[in-house]
Amino acid sequence: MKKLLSKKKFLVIVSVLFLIYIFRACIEYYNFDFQAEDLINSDTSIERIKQSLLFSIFSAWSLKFEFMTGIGVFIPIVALIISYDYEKIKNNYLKYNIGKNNKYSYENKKLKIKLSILSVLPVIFVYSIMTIISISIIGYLNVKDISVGMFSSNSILNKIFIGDLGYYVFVILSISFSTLLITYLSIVIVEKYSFIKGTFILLGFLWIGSVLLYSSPLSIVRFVVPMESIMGIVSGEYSIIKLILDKISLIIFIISLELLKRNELG
Amino acid sequence: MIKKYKNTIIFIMRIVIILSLVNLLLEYIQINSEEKIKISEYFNLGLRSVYTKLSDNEKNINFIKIITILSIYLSIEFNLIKYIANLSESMKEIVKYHSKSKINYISNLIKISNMELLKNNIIWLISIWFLSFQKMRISQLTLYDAKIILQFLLINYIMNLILILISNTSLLANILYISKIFILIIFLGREMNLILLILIILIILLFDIEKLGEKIWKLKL
Repeated sequence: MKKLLSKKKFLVIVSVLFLIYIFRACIEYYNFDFQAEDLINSDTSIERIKQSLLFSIFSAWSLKFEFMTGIGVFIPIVALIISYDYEKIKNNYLKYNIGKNNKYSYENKKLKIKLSILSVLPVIFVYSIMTIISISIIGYLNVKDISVGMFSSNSILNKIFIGDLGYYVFVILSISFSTLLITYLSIVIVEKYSFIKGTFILLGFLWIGSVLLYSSPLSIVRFVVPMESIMGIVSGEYSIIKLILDKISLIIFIISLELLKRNELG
Repeated sequence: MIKKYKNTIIFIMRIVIILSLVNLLLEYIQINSEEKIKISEYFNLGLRSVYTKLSDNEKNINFIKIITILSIYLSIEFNLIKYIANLSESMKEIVKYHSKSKINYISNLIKISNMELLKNNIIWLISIWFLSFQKMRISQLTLYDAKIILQFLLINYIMNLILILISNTSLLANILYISKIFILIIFLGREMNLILLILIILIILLFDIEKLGEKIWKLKL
């Protein structure tokens, strides 16, 4: 992994910045004036106010909200860093294998899958740190408020992902799979169009495409919005069909790019 | 011939996208459809704030608004960021080779990039001009609005210039570009702090111009 990810410092920096973004409400906590006149005169004790404020900052609901608003920017950046690494490694593979054997294509495919899987690590890292901090401050895992309505009432997913742990496993699996797809798409785009052009195609597809499709009056279009593969967690009501529809735009784009690929060495 | 058509189609598509995105952002600012919005409000509440007004006193962070702002920047400054990425990948080395001193290197970089930065500002002005088509929703331009536009263009120009000076690879250019948008959002109403920060960076750059980007790049974790 160390050899594969030469730009891992960027992944660490971006992950730390994302964690700061999620916990930025802590700054408000330290700046909060607990000695304010109206608070001192109120019936509630200062300790109780402090506790409720801490609870609101680190509750599963507010952390989920902060996580979901930032993840749409975080995942594309992770995908870009990984695809930049891919472009460099690919050239080395090409130089090493060309003229010697016909392993380049096989090695290249293996590399793409390996890097896509590695891109999931920063997302899991941020999500785990966020959950651990929440549990260590509040004292217990409470996702009852946010897990309600996560799955459609008739869906089989209701029976597979049961309880708090089931909810966490589902969220991690769903976001990780979306990250994997976005990174793989980013790699395929960079492979076809170079890194500089590829960046705009990926960000244009994910951000501009999502904004334009979200504003569409047709509700069916909302299911195939590229960002819905990540943001679908917010709206919930998951069923197997919704799970597939969320990712369909990414999968179609990947397949069409793979089919259109030119100048590939055998 | 095909390339000519392709470029024309891309150009038209870009205008349509900018037009729709600029109008979409209006939806997040304008709660009351009868109330007209000032251009300065469009900048302060729209482009430079991640919050969405729910009512007069309530506001909320909205993910779609964040990506709308990012999309507007991306579609408007598309050429510039492509230019910065290309410049940092190869051209900067050539400029460095032909420069006599650090100050000469900076002035050369500014000289060759000025045209692109100017074009970028013109695209911003055209995008703002698009807004004036919405006469039912946008109020007439005032002197204060003009001041806010100029202030925004100036800060954006300086930030882009710093981006040109710091970035030494296309990846760093892209990451710094996205950071730039968030810096502009964070420093809303605190322009003096931003100018101070820019001055500090410029002083560091004057002393250690080529090493700042390299230091970030070679940072060991």
